[in-house]
Amino acid sequence: MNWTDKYRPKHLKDVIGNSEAKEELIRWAKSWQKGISEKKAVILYGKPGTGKTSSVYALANDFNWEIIELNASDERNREILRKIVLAGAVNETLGIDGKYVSSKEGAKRLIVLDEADNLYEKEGDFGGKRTIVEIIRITKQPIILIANDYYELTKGGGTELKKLCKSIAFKKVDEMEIVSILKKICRAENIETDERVLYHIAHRCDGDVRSAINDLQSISYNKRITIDMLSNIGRREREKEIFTGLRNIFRALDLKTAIKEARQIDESPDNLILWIDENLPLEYKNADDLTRAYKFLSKSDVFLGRVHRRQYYGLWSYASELMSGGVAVSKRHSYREFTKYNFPEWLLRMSKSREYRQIKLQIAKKFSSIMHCSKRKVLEILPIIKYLFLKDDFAILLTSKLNLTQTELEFMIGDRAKKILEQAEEIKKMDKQALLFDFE
Amino acid sequence: MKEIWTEKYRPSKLDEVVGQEYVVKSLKAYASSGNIPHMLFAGPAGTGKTTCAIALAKEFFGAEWRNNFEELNASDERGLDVVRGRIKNFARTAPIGGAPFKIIFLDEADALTPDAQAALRRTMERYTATCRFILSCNYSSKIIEPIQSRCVVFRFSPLSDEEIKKYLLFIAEKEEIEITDDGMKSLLYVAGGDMRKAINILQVCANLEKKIDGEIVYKMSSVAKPEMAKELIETSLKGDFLKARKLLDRMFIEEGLSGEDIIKGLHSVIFDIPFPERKKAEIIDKMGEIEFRIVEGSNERIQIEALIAYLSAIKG
Repeated sequence: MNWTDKYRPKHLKDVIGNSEAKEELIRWAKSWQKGISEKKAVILYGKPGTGKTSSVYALANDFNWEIIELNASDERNREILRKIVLAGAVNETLGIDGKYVSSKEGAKRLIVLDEADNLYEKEGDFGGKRTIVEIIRITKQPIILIANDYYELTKGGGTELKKLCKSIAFKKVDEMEIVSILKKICRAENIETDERVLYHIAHRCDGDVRSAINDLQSISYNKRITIDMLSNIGRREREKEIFTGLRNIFRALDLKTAIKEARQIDESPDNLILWIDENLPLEYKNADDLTRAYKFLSKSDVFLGRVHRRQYYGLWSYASELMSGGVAVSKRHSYREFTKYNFPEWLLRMSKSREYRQIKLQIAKKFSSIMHCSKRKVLEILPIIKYLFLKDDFAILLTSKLNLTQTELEFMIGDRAKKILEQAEEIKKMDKQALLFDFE
Repeated sequence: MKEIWTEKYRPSKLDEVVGQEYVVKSLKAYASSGNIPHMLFAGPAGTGKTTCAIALAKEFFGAEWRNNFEELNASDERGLDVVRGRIKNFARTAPIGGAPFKIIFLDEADALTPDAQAALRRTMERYTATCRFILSCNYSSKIIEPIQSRCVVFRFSPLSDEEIKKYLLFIAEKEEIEITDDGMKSLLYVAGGDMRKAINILQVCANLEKKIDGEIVYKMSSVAKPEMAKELIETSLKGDFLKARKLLDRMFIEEGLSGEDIIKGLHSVIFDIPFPERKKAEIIDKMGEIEFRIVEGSNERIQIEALIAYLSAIKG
């Protein structure tokens, strides 16, 4: 499940940031409790991920309002808009499907138009803004418009909207508040995390809580977050910048230029080397060029290892210079063709590899208990065992004997694991019964 | 076929042990005299070290052997403290069934550093009254003098082809499979004096066919061999870096191999690759450097890629 949905705040007090905006929203909602508010509609505007939609849903929940939502993906031509919105707004007891809604008697129905700055005046949406103005005039129910771009919404035919509505701005959410919500999610998901990563995520997302949570989820697939996973996130716009930088490094003709380009990319050497490594062989087609380049790149990597072991960051400059300048001056050919670069996917897959190694060790431990030899030795003959597992009866018996788990079995035999596991369970059950029988 | 044959056919009596006549004779004498010294079993893999230790325990302790015999693996236990803790725990309680002492079998003792061995020596001394130690290793020279001098050292020699053949035929009869002359020749060649290896390959072959000939053995022995390593080297030598890298990633991810595993695998197959000898020597030099860098904590992928790049540019 998407964490942005899973952790969408239920109450307005749980929405992080924008306390002034939230207070204003509450004041407006309260004014509806005394009858029809003076301003029947509100425009919430601000950058993506600042909590506009979340606030609306939390508000409706706090005030026990029913929500009728329309967004840009709905067909918003005039007729449809009129039909749905008017039905919801004017008829207090009729739901949108035409059935009576008696359970929520007296409750307000909040009409939400998400992404209100989109699509309105385009083909098929003709007169959208005018329709909304009309609706706001006649409605007896609260209406909220949500938009990223206030100017887009209120220009032209939208000037009327500006007058009719109360406008509330949502600002970028403070980094520290984002960190706190990320921490909360990590706790709830039982994720072990290097806290520095959370600060980086919060910093990179530039006040956009949704993208921060998405980033967090994207690197949380194995319940452990380490600092080196950072380069997996923030790839969106950033990727393009890095690609341009890489191209300039690969095509530079002298050390200085390449090193300068590397500096401009503004990634730590640990990350940058992975980008270079991923794309270098795509660019350097000549084997001798590639060999020379890899000689420098692997040496640069040795320096990075030393930095980590000694915590001596003085070596970083050598590492950076070799991975950029060293690589650049390794070529004797010029590469002019356009090369499509890749994100260093290996970063993501590497943790998969570590996971597999862990599984392999567990398997080896189980086998070493019956084979009178070390885990190391079991690992050596694991290919043989894997092969023997091709036979069902062998696999089933050993699975039950060693209590192999589903993950372990999947590593050994892939898709057959489930079937084998089921049958192994049967055997275990039978063994248990046989044991009871023995006691009698 | 529902068991691992190396276990199913592991001899449980000293008399059934294949080869190592001198060792077996001595062990039988110890078992009947009731007095067992500390021992060091030295010899290559698959020659019967573990089997002898277990058989001795079974003969000496009888039905209670499980309670009086503890198997430890020096290469699995991280640090000597763990080994010491387990030894202490095991040695603390009295032997069961009226036995005069317990036996601790420490496999792959040469995996311990000299410092750890020195500490082990003190531990051995402390529990001498209640425990006997059997250490096993590939090379006795890797065991420090003070330990060797406290142990009776037994050398296990590689099993002869005749000995292995006899046992394989015994298994074949029990499992109702047939081994052709050609098949036996190949099995013996692949096993190289290692009984465990011989039985493992036999079982893998039997998994496929009831009649085992040379062709099947050849085919199946590759199951146990780092075939991907060979492919990786060949692809690299052909100069196809990107294809080789894909293969490398598969080894990392699908096979869950570490950089160290991979470089060791590459090293083990380099001799089988047709290539000028002097160039191979240079490649081995490179491999050593790369393995050292990986062990030192460098990025395993980048380092092996450097090797691939080197191979892809080398001219035969």
